[in-house]
Amino acid sequence: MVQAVRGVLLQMDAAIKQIILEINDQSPQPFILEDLDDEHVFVQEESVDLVRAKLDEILEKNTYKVDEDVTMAKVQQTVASPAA
Amino acid sequence: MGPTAAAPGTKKAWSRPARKAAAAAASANTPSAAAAAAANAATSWNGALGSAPDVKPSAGATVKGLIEDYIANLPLAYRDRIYQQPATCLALFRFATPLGKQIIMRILYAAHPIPLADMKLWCTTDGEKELIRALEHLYRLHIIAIPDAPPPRPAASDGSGPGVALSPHFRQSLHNALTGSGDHASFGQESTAPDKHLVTQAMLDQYATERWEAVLHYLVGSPSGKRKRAVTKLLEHSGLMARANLTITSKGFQFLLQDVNVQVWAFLLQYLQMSDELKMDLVEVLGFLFQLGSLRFGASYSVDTLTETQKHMLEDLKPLGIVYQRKKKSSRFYPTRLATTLTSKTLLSSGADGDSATGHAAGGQSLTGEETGFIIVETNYRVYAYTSSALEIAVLSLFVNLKARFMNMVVGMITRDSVREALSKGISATQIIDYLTSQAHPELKKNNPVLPATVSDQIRLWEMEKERITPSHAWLYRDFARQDDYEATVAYAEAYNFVLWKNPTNRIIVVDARGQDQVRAYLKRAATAHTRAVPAGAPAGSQPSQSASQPPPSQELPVHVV
Repeated sequence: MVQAVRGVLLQMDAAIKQIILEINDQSPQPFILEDLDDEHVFVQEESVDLVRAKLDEILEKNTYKVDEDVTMAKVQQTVASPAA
Repeated sequence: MGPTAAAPGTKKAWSRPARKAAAAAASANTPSAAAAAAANAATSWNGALGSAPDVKPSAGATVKGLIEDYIANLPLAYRDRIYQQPATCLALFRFATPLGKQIIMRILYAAHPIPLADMKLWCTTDGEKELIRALEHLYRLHIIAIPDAPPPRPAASDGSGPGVALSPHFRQSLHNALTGSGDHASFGQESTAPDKHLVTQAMLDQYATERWEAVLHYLVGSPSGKRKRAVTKLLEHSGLMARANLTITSKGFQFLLQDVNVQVWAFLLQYLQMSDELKMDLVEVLGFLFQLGSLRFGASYSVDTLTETQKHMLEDLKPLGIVYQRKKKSSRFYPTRLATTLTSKTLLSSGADGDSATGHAAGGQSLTGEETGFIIVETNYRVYAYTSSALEIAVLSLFVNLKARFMNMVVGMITRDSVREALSKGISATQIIDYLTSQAHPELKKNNPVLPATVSDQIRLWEMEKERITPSHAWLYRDFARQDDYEATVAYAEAYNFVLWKNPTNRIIVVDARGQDQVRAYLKRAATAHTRAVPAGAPAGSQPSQSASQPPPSQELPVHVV
C-alpha cells in the first residue's frame, strides 16, 4: 500500500547535509523522516525553522571573522551616534 | 610513458621522473577537475541567481498601473458612483494612453454607439491590433461599454458588430468636467479671500518634503519626533514594516527605492483599503483623492464645502504632507505638490526640476533629485556617501557598517555582519546591489559595471551563504507495491512537473505540495482501476485507511495518509 507523508524536502550540498544529520542526532526529537540522498533529505514541516537556526549557528561558529570588524565596532562606539 | 625509458638507470634516477610524471598527471587532472568544479559552481551560481526573489526595482510598478488595477477590480456598484464624480473621470482620462484619449474624445459626443467595424476604419490595418488592445483596456476599466455584448474581440467584430459607447456615468461626468457644467463641487472650492498668514509655494514644498521624509524615516527606523498613529497603522497595514517589532521589511525596502509618486499612491491605495475598516465611504475617499489631484498648487481651498468623511481624510493626509492646513480649525487647506501631482503622469522628480523652490530639499531620495547619486563604493568594501540627509544615512545604515560622519559625507564599510543583518530583515542582496547602483555617484557610474564586481559578488555570496538549504513543501510517497505502479505515478506527476525528487530503486517519489491533490486523486483512481481488473492484486494493507472516500468495502484505501 502506498504511503503518503507530508513534510518538507530540503535540498543542500553534501557538507550541509552532514551538519543536518548531526543536528538531527542531537535533537531530542529526530525530525528527519527520510534520508533521500547526499543532497536531499525529507523532514518534518515544523522543523525547518529550527534547522535553519541551528545551521546558522554552527556555520557562524566556523566562520573566520576579520579583525577589522571588531576594531570598526570599537571605532563606531567611540564616534557614537551621528552628530546632528 | 617517459619514466619507463629512464627506468634502466638507478632507482633514484627512476623515481625522480616518475614522481615528475605523477605530478604532471596530477596537474593534468586538476585543471579538468577544477573546470568541472568551476562549471558546477557556475551552475549553482546561476541557479541561485535565477531563484533570487523576483524583486526588480519598480519593475512595472507605475502609478497608472496601480490605480487602474484598483479601479478595474472595484465592484460594479462602487464604480458607477465613482464615475459620477467629474474629478475622477478627468483623472482617469489623464491617465489614459494617447490612443485611449483619442478614442474617448471621439466617442464622447457621439449620439449613438459606434459599431466596432466603423471604428476599425479609423486606423490602418497595422493599427487594428493596437486599437483593439486600447479598447479592451478601456472596457476593463468600464470606461466604455458595449450594450449587450461581450468585450470587443476581433472575432466578434465582423459585420456591423456591437456598438461601442462610453458608459453613461463616465460620459456625463467627463462632459461636466470639460465644460465646467453641473453643480458638483468635485474640483474643490477655491478660497476667495486672501490668507492672513501668507503661504508660499516654497513653504508648501518644504512642508511636504519634511513630512514625507518623516514617514520614510520612520520606515527605516530612525526615531523622528512624534508620529501620528494613523501613519504607523498605515505602515503596518501595508506590510512595509513588520507588525511585531516595527522594523522595515523587504517590501518596505523595495518601497524606498521607488519614485515618490509611486510611493504616495501605494500609500493611498493602502489607505483606501483601510477605509472600509474605518467605516469610511470608499467612493468618497477615492473621489477626494482624485479631487486633490486636480487642485491648483499654491492655491488655498475651503474646508467648508467638504463632507465629514473628507474632513476626516484631511486630518489623515496632513501627516503625510499631502495637504497643508495651518491649524486644525482653519477654514482653508493647501494641497502640496504631492497632492497636485497625484493624477499627472509627470513624475515629481522631473516635474519639480525647473522649480528652485524644491531644489534645496534634502537631496537624493527626497522629492527632487533622485537622479543625483552620492555613493562611492570601493573594491575594499569601503563606502563613501556624500549626503547629509538623515534619511539616506538611515537607509545606508541598514546594510553598511557606518564608521564616521562628516559635514557632507558618511564613511562606512560593507561587512559580512552588516549585510547579514540586512538579509535577516528580509532585504535581499539584489535589493542592496540595486540600491547602491541606482544611487551611485556620477564618478562611480562611469565604471562598468557600476559597482566593483568583488563587492557585488561578495554580497550575493553572503546571501547564498545564509541560504544553504532550499526547502520546498512536499509529499513523499513510498511503499509502492509494484514497479509499474511506481513508474506510472512518476510519469503522471512528471507530466505536470510536480516531481521534486525520485528514486526508482527504493520506489520513493517526492511530489510538490501543489500537486498533492492531483497525484493523490490519480493514485486512488489507478488503484481502484487496478483492483477492479485484478481483484486479488491489491495487497492486504497493514494499516487501516483514514481518508476513505468511496473505496470498495472490502478493499484497503490505496493511499494511506500519515
